[in-house]
Amino acid sequence: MTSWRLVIRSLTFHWRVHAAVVLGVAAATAVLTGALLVGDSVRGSLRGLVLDRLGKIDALLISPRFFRAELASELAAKPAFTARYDQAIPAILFPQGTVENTTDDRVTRASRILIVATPNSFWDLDTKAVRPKVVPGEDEVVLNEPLAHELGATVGSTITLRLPEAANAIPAESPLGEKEDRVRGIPGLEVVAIVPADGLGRFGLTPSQSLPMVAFTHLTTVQNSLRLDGQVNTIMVSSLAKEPSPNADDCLELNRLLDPRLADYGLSLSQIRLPRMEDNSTPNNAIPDYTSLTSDRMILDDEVADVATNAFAGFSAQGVLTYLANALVPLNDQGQETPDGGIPYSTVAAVDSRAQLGPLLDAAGDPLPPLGDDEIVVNSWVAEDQNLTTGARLRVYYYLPETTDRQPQETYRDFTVKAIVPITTPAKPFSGKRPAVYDKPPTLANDKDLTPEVRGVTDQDSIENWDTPFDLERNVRTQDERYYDQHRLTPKAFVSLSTGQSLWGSRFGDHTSWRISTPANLPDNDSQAFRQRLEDAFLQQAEKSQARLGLAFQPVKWQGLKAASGTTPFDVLFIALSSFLIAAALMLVSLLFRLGVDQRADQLGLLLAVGVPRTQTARLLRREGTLVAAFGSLLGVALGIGYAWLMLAGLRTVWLGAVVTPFLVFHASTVSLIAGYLLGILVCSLTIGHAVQRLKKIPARRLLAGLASPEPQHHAARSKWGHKTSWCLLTIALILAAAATQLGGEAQAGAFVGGGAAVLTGLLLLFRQRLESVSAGSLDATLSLSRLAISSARRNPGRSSLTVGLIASASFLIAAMSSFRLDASLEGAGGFESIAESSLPVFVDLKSAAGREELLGADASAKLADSVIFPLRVQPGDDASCNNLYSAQRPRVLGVPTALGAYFDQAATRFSWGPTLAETDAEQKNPWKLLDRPPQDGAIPVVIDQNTAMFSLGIYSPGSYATFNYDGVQLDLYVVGFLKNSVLQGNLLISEAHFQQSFPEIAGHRYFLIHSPEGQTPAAPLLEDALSDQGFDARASRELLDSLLAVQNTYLSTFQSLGALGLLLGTFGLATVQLRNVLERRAELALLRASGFQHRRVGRMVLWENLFLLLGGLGLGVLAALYAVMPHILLGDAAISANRFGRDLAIMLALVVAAGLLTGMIAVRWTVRAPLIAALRGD
Amino acid sequence: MLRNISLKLQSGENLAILGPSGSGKSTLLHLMGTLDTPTTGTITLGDENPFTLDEPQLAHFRNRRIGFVFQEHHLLPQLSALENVLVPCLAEGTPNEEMVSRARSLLDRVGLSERLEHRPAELSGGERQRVGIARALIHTPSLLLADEPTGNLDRTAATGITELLVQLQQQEDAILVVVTHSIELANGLQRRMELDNGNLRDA
Repeated sequence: MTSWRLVIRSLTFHWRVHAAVVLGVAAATAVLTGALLVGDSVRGSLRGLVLDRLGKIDALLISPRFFRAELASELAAKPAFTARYDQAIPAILFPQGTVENTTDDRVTRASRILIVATPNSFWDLDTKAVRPKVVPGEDEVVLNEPLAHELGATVGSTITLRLPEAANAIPAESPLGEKEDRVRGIPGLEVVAIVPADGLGRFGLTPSQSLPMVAFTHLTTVQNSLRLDGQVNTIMVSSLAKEPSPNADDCLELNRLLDPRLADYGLSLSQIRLPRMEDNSTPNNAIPDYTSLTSDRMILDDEVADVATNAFAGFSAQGVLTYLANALVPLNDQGQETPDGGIPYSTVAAVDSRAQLGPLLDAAGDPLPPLGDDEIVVNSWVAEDQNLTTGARLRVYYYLPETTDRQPQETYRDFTVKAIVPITTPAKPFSGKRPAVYDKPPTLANDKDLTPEVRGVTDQDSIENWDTPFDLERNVRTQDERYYDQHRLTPKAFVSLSTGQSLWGSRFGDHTSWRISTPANLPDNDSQAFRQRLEDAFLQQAEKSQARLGLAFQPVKWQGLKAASGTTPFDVLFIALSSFLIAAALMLVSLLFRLGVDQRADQLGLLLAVGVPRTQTARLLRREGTLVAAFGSLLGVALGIGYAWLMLAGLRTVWLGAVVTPFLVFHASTVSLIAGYLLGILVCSLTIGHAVQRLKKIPARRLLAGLASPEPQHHAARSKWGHKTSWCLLTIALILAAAATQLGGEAQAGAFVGGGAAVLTGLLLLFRQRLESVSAGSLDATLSLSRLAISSARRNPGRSSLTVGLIASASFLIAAMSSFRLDASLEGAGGFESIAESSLPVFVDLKSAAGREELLGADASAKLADSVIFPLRVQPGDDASCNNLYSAQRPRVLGVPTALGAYFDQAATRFSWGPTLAETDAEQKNPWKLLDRPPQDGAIPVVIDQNTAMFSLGIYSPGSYATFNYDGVQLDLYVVGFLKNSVLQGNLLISEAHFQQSFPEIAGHRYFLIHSPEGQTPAAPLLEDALSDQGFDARASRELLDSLLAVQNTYLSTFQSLGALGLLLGTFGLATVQLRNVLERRAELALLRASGFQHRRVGRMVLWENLFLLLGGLGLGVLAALYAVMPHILLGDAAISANRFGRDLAIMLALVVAAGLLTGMIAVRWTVRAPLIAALRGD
Repeated sequence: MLRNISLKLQSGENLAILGPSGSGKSTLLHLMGTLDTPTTGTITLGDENPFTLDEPQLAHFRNRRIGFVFQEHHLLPQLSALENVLVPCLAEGTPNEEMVSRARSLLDRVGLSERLEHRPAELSGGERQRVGIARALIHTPSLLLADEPTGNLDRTAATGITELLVQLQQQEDAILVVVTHSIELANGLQRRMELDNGNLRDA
């Protein structure tokens, strides 16, 4: 005889009750395991999507510039590449294209479409055999199913792609940047196949479970249409099958294998030969040639300038910024402009002269001392034309270097003429491509190459032929055209580099060229070698900044798989959502185990009586419980698979709102199965341990008497305490309700639900006191069957209160959760009825009347006079809203204009705010002002939607810091405030000024908040029509917000559904209590039968008792829930309707009452079937 | 409930306590068996006052010094007769061979040598009570307490159990206290006392 043997014998002897406990344990474990498997399935499905949509593609290089397609073939030919990688495929990707399908004069348009232009080898990268039946040739296109459906296109349809003009252009928001005609249409593309949205058919760049819309075409189609001969912006790399997917470090290695040339960065080094004499002789041996580094975007951005500074440090080099002055106007002694208007459209070079390079040298050939901030040097032509002498004042008119308007803003700066540099007039002027020819030696100031080439300007034969984005409003004189003939855009004036940069430097850069002195009189071969040396130096330096220069691979598959870990731990979420179900199952385990213990209370009493210590007796029971838990959990793991399957079925159907797309497939990991099993054993063992713990308080003699409850205590003191507490809680409920009227949103719901919870607890305490007071008092003289049943329920007030409390809590929780349900409101959209996005940037200023008139014409814009439109800048990134289950690695950034913040000083409807860092009155009234705070420790102020911050980004309070990386641009942020349930969910909101500093390349606006006053012409349709080429697409903000809030609402529904399931399980607990009661009173029930009570009558009494507990619980729960929810209904809160609440409640009540009655019937049946004599004897 | 009770018993002595229902017989027995704690007064066994002991020590004291025989015998239905006798030994871990041998001997002495492996459900009421007596004696207790040991038995079985109890008590040199309604049982013991309104007096 050992204690283990006793345990095993007890298990087998009491197998019936243990079998019931096993089922309870299995239910709890099934829910726990199921929740873990749901987590596995979400993660597994997200991983599966990554692997499907990328196929064999492991790394992607996507550049903002176009580069030679040979870069891919050169890479693929390298032995170091072939050792690990399989293919390097050049491609052109446009993540934000627009596609149109025209049928019967009706245009169907889909915007923000991923356009993929590749060679046919792209389809070899698919791993799911989703190759189209016909791969697209030139002028052909393949659509994926979602896009074809959106467009209503079929095989044979002819569609149009609208793409941005090639990116290698002057920044759109500089004065010379083209703001119109930046969209190029590729019409007449025949749809040759439609592929399912599976495998490469759902190819996408950002991790999202939503179905992307993708158009696939042949590389040459886009190259020819955009005049991008041999150029691409993407390289796709796949690994050898045996190799793991490259990670971030591997991609650095991959970057090193690239051999970009200067042209791949959009740069060129050219040897500038100074003007030659007619006889082609060098005019002056002291004047050397030089090499110039320029960009095809006119401006060298800061990254290039940094690289150039370091690369050319060992050479005689200088940076130059040449800018267009609209006019050079002399000032008289009174500081007034001379009446003739000065010289129009000249260039001014900002450069600090250096030995050998000049361009400003004194008579001894030494560079002129640096110019002061207000000093300028003019050439002799200007001095002569305007009668200027040293010391004269000169006003320089110019456009501000950054502008979003077609007609930029002009300003001026006054200078003093410090010196006049000679310039030589050529014998023969420029003609076409032929340079000017000199008969007298030119000077270093005769350098037209100080001005960068600008297509449409520097390549024109006369000023009047210039093709500029702005109007040439100033009068161009004959002598100005003559200067242009003789000197082209040779600078007419010079300022210091620092002065030029302060005036004309911009976020796009503050150099237009880099000049490097060429050793004197180099033969052609040597000068070519010198250029190569410079290029090598630059490329060597550039390798360190490859990401910032836009030529760096991203480990897309590795990143995608990392992001597939998800924003929400679904296993934890489903454990939380199933918490009531788990609690109900555990309560059932506890009740059933205690039922088993009750049945053999005397045996436990015996063990204590014979001297087996309480701890040892308890240990024996715990061992029994653990073995039962171990077996039950095993069964629970099997059931858990079914539970997970059901949850996934729910997420694919009724709870689809939580995951947006029905993409989930079942996955199970061994770890989860084992964890579920162990977790099941743990929680059930703890529950059983707790049940056993209670036995320690019961004296041995009571146990010997078969009583498994503690000694009855005197209730007076407890009753007094309970009475006071009850009334305290009810008072608290009233205070909370009063406070709630001053709150809003979730805080208000929280206050009401808190009040409801206080009401519930108070009522339960009163209920228990009532039971105790009657059980301690006398029996009612008017005894009836129902009263007898109720008094039976009062025999064990603790047990009855527990049952009622469980059912009341469940019904309260389920019903009260309705008050947290969110409906879209205009506050969520800040009062803007429409939210629009465009595929391509919009440069027209839609917030100004002038901009709207320019776009829509006078009539249409007049209709929108009272409309409010705010355009926002967009840095593309991951969708960090609750709609995206992938973890956002680099969320989309929106640049919020200062005007939007100012608008909310007066706006009638404002965004709802959560916690913020607002300190001043102004900030508290309008927290948008927080965005204007200066950076803190280099971190930019950011506003984030609270749900995005907490659930997607793991940021839990304002004042937190966060860092994200956008292709080499590190964005350090500090959170200044949270928006609540807003339509701006999923974005990082920073001020436009900070946006422009961080993302200087991003031009135009692509996100729009639109408000049209009621009764006036809605702006959105007019804008959609006018900006169709840009793929402008507006949505009702309420609809958008609804889709965002659907996630939270669906989780509430899930909680309610699983809670109802828990409540059903709780009714089994009720049946257990009923059985315990019946078991304890089997003798007296038998006595009733012996006294002549019919079976039916005894049964009815037991049923009454059951109903008393069931309806008592439901009644208290519903009463408290009504307290929590009614204020919402009475206040007219749109989020919760009386109908919906009533419907939810009715369904729940019906289900629970039905289940309760059913379980009650089981107790009745058991009672009336018990053998009469044996029951009378108490056996 | 119990008032001014003073009682001293020597080894080998046996006592029957009579009294009507509710007179406190069982309470007195529970106090003597340390299952209950007196509000005033003391109870000693030998020189030891068990109520000064902590819970584990008290359990050990009860295990070694006191044997209980109940009206409801309280045998564990899942165990055999032999195993039931060995139940008190579980307090010290696994029973050793010596204990098993003593259990066999006790069952032999109560006339159940042929029923060692039978479970309680396979035994008659009298046999079950015999197992209960053997269990009470497994640790050779100084004090043997019996609460209505013949309450559930017919006259013949009751007589047999009474004789067996006294015989074994004498053999073990223990004190035997029996609370009972049964005059017949009481007559089989050396001393008889009556409990009335909480007062104990000679019957």
